[in-house]
Amino acid sequence: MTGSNDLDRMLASYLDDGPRRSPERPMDAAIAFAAAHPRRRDPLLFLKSDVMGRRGSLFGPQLVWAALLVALTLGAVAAVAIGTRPSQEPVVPPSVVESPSPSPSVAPSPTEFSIELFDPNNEITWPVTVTDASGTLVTAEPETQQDVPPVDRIQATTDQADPTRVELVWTFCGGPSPHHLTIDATGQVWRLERQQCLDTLGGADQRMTLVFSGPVDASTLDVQLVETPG
Amino acid sequence: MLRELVERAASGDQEAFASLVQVSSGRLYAVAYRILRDPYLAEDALQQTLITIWNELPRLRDPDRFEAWSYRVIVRASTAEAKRGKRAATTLRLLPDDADAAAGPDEVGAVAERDRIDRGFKRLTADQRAVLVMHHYLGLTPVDMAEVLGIPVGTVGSRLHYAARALRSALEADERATSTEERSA
Repeated sequence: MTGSNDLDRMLASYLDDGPRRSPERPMDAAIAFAAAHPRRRDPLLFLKSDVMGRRGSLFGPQLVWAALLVALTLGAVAAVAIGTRPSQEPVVPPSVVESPSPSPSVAPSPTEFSIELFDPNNEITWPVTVTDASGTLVTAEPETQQDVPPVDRIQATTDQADPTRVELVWTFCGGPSPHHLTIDATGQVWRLERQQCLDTLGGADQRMTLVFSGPVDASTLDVQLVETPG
Repeated sequence: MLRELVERAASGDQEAFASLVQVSSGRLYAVAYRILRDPYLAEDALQQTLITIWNELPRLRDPDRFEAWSYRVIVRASTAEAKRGKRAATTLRLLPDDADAAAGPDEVGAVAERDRIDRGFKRLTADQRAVLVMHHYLGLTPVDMAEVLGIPVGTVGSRLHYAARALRSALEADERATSTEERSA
């Protein structure tokens, strides 16, 4: 049997044995990441909770600001209702106003990027527009074709060295038809639309890289390739 | 000094962030390694932690809590890394050829004891290993651990209790298995 004191002593000695210096690789990678992703001033920072705040705090900043927003909205509605009321006419109830959401609406407006993909085999280019409703996409970059095994329709893969970068690969379609990629507000559903494939030309899979403001786990994404009638 | 670095890095100063990485990575890697017992997984956990620190630092309201917060991030990254189980971890401990000849009975016994606790420790879940590392390696009190993990002190106490019990059970199972092998040999 191992006594409690013995166990503590053995464990402390065991845990004391081990490295105390970090290898360079993760440090260099993090510093390079920071250089590649300079921090922009976040105007909504005051709405975000403290990372060391207690979970479930009753008076977190979101709740305080939400309450303030609701109060301001109600105040504005009341002011409009009083200001527009005719002085001598019968009182009519104000028009129905939709109740404000209990949480502040901070949904960003969709961002749109447009890039051009080039197919060196067939010497054609075509545009890909990307509409991001999640507000997390930083940029989209075209990639050169590579001699790699073909994907089954479409595939997204997180870059292991930099998890904010996701490579999107999809099957080639025989013609320079415009593509449109839509990322929904949750950032989880990606829908790439193009015209129905005519198979008039052969070619390698097409690829582009999407760079986000934070890490993205591509394995959890719902990525769809949708072909519309030509 | 640390507070100033944290404040500057939070405002986007990359030089300050690089300094913060230099001064913090050793202690964070040490924790990740001790939870994961795998240098490659520990490196991945550290890299993820440093990136999270860069991305989330502006949301740390009190710069003096940076150290506790960074432990929280590395513990979460390490447990996530362990659960992902990206690589089959195989750690070989190499001893010199003449280790047995040169080592006295005490040293041989110490190595055997270390190997035994190593096997037992690796049988624990990542969450159990994390609380043991915070308590026995970092020397944090349950109150400090509660702050780092963002959970009530009572929960820390029960996690520590169950982790120690699981380790003791693992060691006893190991002892029984060794005795059986010796008898059958």
